[in-house]
Amino acid sequence: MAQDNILAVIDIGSAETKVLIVDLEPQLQVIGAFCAKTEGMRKGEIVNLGALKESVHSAIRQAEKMAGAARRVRGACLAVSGALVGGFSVTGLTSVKSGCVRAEDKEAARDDAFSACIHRVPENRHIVQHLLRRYLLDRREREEPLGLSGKELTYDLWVIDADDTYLTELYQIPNRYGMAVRGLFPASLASAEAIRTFAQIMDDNRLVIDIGAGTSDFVLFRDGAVVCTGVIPVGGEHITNDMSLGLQISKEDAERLKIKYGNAYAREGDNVFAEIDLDSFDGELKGFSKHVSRYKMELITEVRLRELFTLISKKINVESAFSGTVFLTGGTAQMEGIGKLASSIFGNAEVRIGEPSLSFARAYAEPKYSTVVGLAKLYRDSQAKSAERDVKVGWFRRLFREIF
Amino acid sequence: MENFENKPSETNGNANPPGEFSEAGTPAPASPPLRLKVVGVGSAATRTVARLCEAKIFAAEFIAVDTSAAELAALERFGVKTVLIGETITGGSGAGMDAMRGAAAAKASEETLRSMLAGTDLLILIASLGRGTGSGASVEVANLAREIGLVSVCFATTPFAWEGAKSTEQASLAIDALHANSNAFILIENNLIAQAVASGGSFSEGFKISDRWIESGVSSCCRMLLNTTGRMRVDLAAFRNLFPAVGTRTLFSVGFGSGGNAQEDALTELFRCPLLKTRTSVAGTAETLAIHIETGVEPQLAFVSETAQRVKNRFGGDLRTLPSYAVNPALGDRLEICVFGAAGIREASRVVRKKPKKEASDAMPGGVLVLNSDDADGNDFDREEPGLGLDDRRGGFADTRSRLFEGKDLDTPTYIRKQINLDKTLAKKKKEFGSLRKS
Amino acid sequence: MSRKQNHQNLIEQMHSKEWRALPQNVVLSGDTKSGKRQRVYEILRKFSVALLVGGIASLLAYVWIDMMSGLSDEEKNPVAVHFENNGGLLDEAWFRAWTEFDENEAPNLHHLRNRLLAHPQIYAARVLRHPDGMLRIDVLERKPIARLEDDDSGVRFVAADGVVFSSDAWAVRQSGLPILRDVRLAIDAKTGFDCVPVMAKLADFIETARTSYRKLFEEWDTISLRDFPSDERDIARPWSLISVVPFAAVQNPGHAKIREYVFSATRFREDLKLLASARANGTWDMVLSAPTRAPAYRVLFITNRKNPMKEFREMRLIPLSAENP
Repeated sequence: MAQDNILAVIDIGSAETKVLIVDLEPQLQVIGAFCAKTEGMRKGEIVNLGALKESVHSAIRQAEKMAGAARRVRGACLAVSGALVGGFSVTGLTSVKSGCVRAEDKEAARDDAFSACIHRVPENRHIVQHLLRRYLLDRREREEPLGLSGKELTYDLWVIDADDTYLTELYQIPNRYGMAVRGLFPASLASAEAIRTFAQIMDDNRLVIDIGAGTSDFVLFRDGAVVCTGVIPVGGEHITNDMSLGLQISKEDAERLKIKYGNAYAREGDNVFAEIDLDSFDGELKGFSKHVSRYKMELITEVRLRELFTLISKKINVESAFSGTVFLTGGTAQMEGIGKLASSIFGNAEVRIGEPSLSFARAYAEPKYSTVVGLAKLYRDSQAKSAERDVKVGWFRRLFREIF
Repeated sequence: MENFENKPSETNGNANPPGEFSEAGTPAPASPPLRLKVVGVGSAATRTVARLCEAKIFAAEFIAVDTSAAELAALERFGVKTVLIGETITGGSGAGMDAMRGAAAAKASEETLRSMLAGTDLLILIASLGRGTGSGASVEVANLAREIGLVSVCFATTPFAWEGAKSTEQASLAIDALHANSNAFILIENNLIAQAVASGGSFSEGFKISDRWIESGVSSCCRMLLNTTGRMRVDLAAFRNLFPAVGTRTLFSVGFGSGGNAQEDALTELFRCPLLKTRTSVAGTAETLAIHIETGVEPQLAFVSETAQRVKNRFGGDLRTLPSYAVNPALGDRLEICVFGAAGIREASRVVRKKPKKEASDAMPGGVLVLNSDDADGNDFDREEPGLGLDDRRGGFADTRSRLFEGKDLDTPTYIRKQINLDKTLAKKKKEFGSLRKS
Repeated sequence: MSRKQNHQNLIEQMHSKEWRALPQNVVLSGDTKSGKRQRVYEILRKFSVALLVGGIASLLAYVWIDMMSGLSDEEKNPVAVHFENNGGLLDEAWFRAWTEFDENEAPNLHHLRNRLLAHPQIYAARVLRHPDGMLRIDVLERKPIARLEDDDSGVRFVAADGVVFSSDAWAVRQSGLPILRDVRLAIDAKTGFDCVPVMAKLADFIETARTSYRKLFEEWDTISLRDFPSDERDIARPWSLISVVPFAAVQNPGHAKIREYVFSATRFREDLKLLASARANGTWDMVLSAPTRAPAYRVLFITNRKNPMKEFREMRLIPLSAENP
């Protein structure tokens, strides 16, 4: 009764909140889901905690209803994103005592990396996740250094941290509903996990970009391992805002325009003369333009998306040039022409639009569900890992926990 | 539909420019002549003032204030009155990009500035921000004006983004200070000039446009008040009531049109003016509004009222709207519309009377003794503010916290930051493909 | 060995830096079906545990009391008393009167201690019994750092931990203490006395002013807590303020130059420093004697955020017209 196997997986996006109620035993299974509009979150940051809480709570309630028989959900798993989430790398160094690498050396290198990480993370931030990127033995990359000979072992760690205030506010949302936060993952890793099987090739170079409404999260994989993650606080809403300002139309009209006619490339030729009549949208017409030029709209979108991709490309090229496949997911990735644009900026790499294709969530194979589906998978995997290392809790403590 | 007939423009060489009390026309009303002072602070601003003076469009006193004697000397021939400030501090050689020195220079010559400002009804301050004198001394002049109790309208130009971070920072501080001390504050961001200029236009063309804006603004201001030829005139008290409180946001826009479709063109330019998109401008509608329409020949009543109505539809003006029109034969068939407005008056909730104000000498972080009677409203306490305040360029994100991503404000549309002019690009492409189509 | 310890330390540190270390405050909501069930379960659990714990406790208490009362049967000699009060005003005579001490009776240590602690001026009490029969009593007394306004019940004082008490002895020396106004008294959880909530911050403020800014402190008369929070959690709110009215303003409201000082409850140190430096370097006098001065001022401290890269604390003198307080 106390140790539940029912978890609420919540992805709070800037436009929509997606809730999945999953059953963890015996196999990962979705028993309830709901998707609702989010109030109070912009660009991945919380602007109005009260309204956000209300909207998320109503989404959870609906999902619980769908899960039926009011099973008590006591745990929640969340995703973090936004400008307040950062990623950086630290390295730990140790010298190999006996010319051959042993388990103690690996551990020592890891400890060194951890201590460097503790110093790097500022007081007002906490770590969300840390991942081993690679081992370097005498500055050569090695997948498994155990048993090899060398002088110096480096442990390369990638750390993802987030602002305390943001985390505390985020925690309040499930907490006020009576759920404790059991799992927390960066949204970029979650989305990447969801579309991993879609890729069908595990060991390769991949760049997964989840372009949502408020933020774009990206992860770079090299030979199947995470090299770098990040968040750019630009999303579909920015495109809408640009269009609304550039074409002098209202935000709702811009949104409808984007969804219906959005194109990532400003097409030339006859398109330059094409105009779209806003009247057909039954929108309220303020301002002067009843017709908007299609070329202008596409130009605005192209400029913005180009900038976004350029920013991502700059961030990932710190390490080395990228060659591999680019996967785009998220609501905005469904725009026409975005694949070609991304390809042109990432050195003509192959670009595919990914959808979550995990077996337990077949009904939720739309790009907007990638984060939440990936979250469930990541939580399950982390549970499996920690079950191996679980310390035996004394019976008294367990009794105590039962009572209180 | 033609709203007015095209008459050949009458170029009068020495006839009284409209706005002056004509000797041949109706006798001037019994009120004393309006004393208007146009003061330019900073090198670029003084040059603008000199140009305005030379054009002799209207009767006002033109004063140029600077710390560099050489610059001022060059302007003498335009007939501008020059005031050199801070000889003891700068030695007549300029403030050298340092706003602190500019401010110190102004403080040192406080008496001179006070006597310069005495006996004025309306002060129009033009400041070029970013350099030393402009950013530093103009703030002091605005303070003095407020202390004396003058109504001040301030036009400020900001440096380009490539002029360096220090310029931008100094300009930004000066903007805040000037805004808080002027009745009407109009910001002209040089970065936005690219929006109005034909792509590939020369540098000086861009400056000509910003000059033109300032010129129209200043001359409309003056004409509104000094108008004798038109029927509707704005008197000083009404103008003062347009901007009752300091620190409110000011709406300012200009539109020109000529030829057959003058009205449409002028209105379109008016509504699309980049000046509406600066960060101190009004997002949405203004509460008070003054509309000034200038035509070459006497317009029809329907024309004036229709134009005014459309402007009002767009800009609001619920609290008070002052229309005024003037006839300037020199315009010929051109039409010029200028709009002033203020918003946020209700929040300011205090009408400015002559309130004395003094600032401490040390403005460094730490001890600042500021005697502000209208700063004591709730906005000062550190309630959770959403950030840098309403920023029109960020559009829908104006109410979210502004964070810089590697030094860039990603909420502002990319096309503005990259200075891409949408209309011009579209027109260019149209031309390009239009010719292809035909061939 | 130490490497293992280091390793353990490191693991602990990492855990404390992880997101799990942030405290979560799981609140059970009432309107979910599961929430209601949760609540019922919780209540049942708590009740049963309370019963269990209560049973054990009462058992132990009975044993203890039995032990205590058993001891008192032994000695019938009159008891000597040694009373120690660290520099306070209460003395042995008071002790005897308050606890109705009877020498010939065997002293019940717990009774004595509880009786002592029932007096609001006593902060801590220790009652010991020496083997040779002497009773030693050590007492720590609360000293007032402020007083409440006189009302029908006489002058009441406030100690540094917030407890309110009356004392005739201190009433003689009350002049140096500032008066607190607009206080919302609460009941102190630990002792049951009346107390001023969130006194710690206020005590800190008064102490800082009295020790480091003596000259400023001596001008103060009343401290109004109307904008001061009555809840510990609200102390960090930006609008929790301490407003101080100087002597001159209380005595002569029409002519005082400064009516009020409004400090921030959390950043008062910076404010005091600002004020002191303004006084010292002459800008204060300059402003107050300027020809454009106003009849009276209120001094306000705000954080200037005009330039988001440089926030600083600023002091503002708000002019007040003569009839507008």
